[in-house]
Amino acid sequence: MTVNPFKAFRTEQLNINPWDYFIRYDKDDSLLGDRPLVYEGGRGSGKTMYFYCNSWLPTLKVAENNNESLNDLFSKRVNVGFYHKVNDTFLKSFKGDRLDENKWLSLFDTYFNYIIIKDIICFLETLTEKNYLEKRKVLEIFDKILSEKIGIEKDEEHTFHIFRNKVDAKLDFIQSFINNDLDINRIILLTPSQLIDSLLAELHGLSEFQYTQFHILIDQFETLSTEQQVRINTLIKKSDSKIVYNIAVKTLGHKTYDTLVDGEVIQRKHDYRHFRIEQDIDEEKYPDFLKSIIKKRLEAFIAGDNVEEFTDINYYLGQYDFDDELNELSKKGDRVNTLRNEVADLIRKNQKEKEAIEDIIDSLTKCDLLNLRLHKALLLRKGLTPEIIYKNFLEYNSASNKTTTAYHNWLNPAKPNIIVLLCREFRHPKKYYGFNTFTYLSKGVIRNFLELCENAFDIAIANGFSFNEPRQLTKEEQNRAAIETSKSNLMELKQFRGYGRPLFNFIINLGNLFYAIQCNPKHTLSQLNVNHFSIKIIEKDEKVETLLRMAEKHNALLVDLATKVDKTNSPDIENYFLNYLFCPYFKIAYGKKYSISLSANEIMQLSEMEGINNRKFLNRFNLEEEIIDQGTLF
Amino acid sequence: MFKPFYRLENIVEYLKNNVNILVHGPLSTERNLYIKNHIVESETCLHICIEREQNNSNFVLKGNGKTYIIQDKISDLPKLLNSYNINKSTVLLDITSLDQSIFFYLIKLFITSIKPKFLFSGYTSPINYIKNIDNFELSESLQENGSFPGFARRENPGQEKIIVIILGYESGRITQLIESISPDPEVYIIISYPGISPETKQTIFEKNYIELNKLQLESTTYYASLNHPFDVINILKRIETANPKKQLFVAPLGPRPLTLGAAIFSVLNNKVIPVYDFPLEKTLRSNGIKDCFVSDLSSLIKIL
Repeated sequence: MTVNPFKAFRTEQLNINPWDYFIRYDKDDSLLGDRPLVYEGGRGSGKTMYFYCNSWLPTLKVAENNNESLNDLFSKRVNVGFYHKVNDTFLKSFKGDRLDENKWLSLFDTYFNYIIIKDIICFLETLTEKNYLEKRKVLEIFDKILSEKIGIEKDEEHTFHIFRNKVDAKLDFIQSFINNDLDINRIILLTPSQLIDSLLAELHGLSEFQYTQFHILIDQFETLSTEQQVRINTLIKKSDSKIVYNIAVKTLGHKTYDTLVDGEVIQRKHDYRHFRIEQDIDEEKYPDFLKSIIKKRLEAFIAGDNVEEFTDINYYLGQYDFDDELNELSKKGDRVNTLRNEVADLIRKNQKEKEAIEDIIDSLTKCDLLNLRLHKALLLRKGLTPEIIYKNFLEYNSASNKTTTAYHNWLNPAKPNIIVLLCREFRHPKKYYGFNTFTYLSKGVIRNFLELCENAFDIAIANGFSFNEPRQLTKEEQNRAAIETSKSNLMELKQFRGYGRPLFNFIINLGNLFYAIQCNPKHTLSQLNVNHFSIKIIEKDEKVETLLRMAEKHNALLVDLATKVDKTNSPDIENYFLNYLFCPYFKIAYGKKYSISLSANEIMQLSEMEGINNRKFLNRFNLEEEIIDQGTLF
Repeated sequence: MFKPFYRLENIVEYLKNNVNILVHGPLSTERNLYIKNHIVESETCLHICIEREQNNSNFVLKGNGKTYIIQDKISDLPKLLNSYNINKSTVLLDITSLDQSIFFYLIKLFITSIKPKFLFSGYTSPINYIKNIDNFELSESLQENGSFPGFARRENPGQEKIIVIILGYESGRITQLIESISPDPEVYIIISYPGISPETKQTIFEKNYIELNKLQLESTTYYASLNHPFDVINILKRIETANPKKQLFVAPLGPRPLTLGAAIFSVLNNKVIPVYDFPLEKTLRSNGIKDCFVSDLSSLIKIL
């Protein structure tokens, strides 16, 4: 049985060594530096991978794999990371009437200190085992910084084991208090990072760490309460070039920028570097970044000759071919003839001068299917007579440089939408395949790309694909994978806490609305690929704000950062577009072109079950009920 | 394994004569009233009702004609229960409508600190659950994942993990629970079978298919009787014994008797981490009464 190289796509699933799969998005990237990093992104955007792979254990493993000695590793500037994934189910219990709010937060500080200290102890123990550090020196530092706080007596034995156990005992005390099994007086409360900073500062005093920058890497920051986030913000603010606090946070999960100092906040650029992959990664570099990630996975499966070719995902997915899809549609002779007749009827109806009418009909109907469908749309446009279209078409056909003609400007951007229209009208399934398409559909979410590949290879393997005899995956295999991935991600929206059902309704209705607009038989192709909407900021009430935030947080909608962050072009509106991954489910074209404007009321209406079937919607967008029924309903 | 459980009809006389305290949840439906109505003749029996305040997230405890607001379950519940002479009483815990987070904690208190003379649990199962079109929507909403009161336990980051999910009819509850655990856990599933009908197994699989499929995790399925908590305890013990080096999580998303089993097991094994998503259950979620069984928990706990 052939194994699918894309089975695991979460860092947590790559049990053995995630580092083996880690790719820097840019060889020169230096996200971790003197300034704290706030890495923001949706599920699957690589936050955990990045943070985990920059923690000390993978760093040491890589050095070992590269035959780099520890002396060499630490003789230059090196980042040593202590990774902590917030244990949210546990931390949510840090509340209740037994303590006042400040004491609970001090308990959180204490917990956070001990969790990181435990990891630092493990790191130092590993280095002494590898003979890089002298055990005695480290234990002396522990004794100086930790003994009193964790309750180790002078005459007690000092070993790594004892220190670890004592720290564990402190964490057990905290757990027991939370569960009402112990009195708070048994716990010595600490200030934020009190022990971490003292211990790391002492380590900096050792010559072995003179070039080392220590990084505390806090993952799943969004699951902390607002008040707990304030504590970590304070640590971000006080980070210096030696000890840096970094966070990975889900989109919109950074609830506050306050610190513990009254009136003080952390600010982008001044206090931290903000990184959001959808925003910061170079669009041109994204396909190559994906290819490198896939290559690492395929390398384990391919041996012998042609490794380069067979580890290139392009080989398996190929490229989407527009002409090929059009050719398939052109084979539907009856449908093409019906369309010709429709265009001829429209010309007869709209052309006042009857003299040249047969020439016009002949020219505008006896042409390629793409042009034919464009002509139908143009004939529906107000102000465009058959004669004008005819003249422009003649000019286009005879022009040596077609790109300068008006006809080209009608045709070229409309191509994806024409295909969608034809697919619906010819009852032909729209196909989503090819590396370029999958790249577009994943839109900055690496996990989505891996999921698309995983499903495509699953289907191919079921059809007999094997890496012993690699072949290109068929369009049908890829298309099925795209639809399945799209559907399963859509269905997943339902389960998001609190807002799952309205969010799901909203996205389903919005997708169906875009489908209805893109496939409207009366489409004039003046507004193309409608797959995003704008809303006036002033109209956003609390309900709409929450819904849109949830949609953005869970990657259902992608915010157009040009309108959200940079307000210079459109200060009053914000644009949101449907995650392209959902396009195969709704059978619509991707690519950002035109948007529709939606009011707050309309957005809330779409979040209800009835949603798009509401007559007001149909009227407003000049839609017919028939097309909604043919869309993808629940 | 020793499974001391009885059909209600076969033990009702004993209960009428011996139960001093009946703890139950809201009595808004015939099904929720079933046990109370059967032992109502016992004049000496004190009824303690713990339910959610209307339009409020707080719980209230009603007993002896008084109502107390529970602000903080973890500290208020023991204080309130201590005033009822529980240690000299035979307690019947009717879990039919009792909030799962409440009885999870009550089980801990009854086993560890406020120990009744004898402890029984009772559960009335329905004929079926209410469907909305084709979906079971038994809850108004789900809340954030979290720990049961009294069961906040730390994950060990370096340790391999196992999660045992007791599946129910509602879909959309698994992914977030699993994704909150790192590294990805090995998954075991428990389904109530035989459940309330022969289709139970199929229906539960159907409702959870998309998530199970998407998670791409190999899972092993076990079956536990709906009538008592003992099968679940037994299964959890077997899984734990077979995987001594792995940290065990249990997510009781299924019917209450199975959750009860998870609660007892979690009290007796303090390394187990129960995780839950705290649904706000709909008042009307089932039809009719199918069966009612009573389990003798004291006898069980003595031998565990």
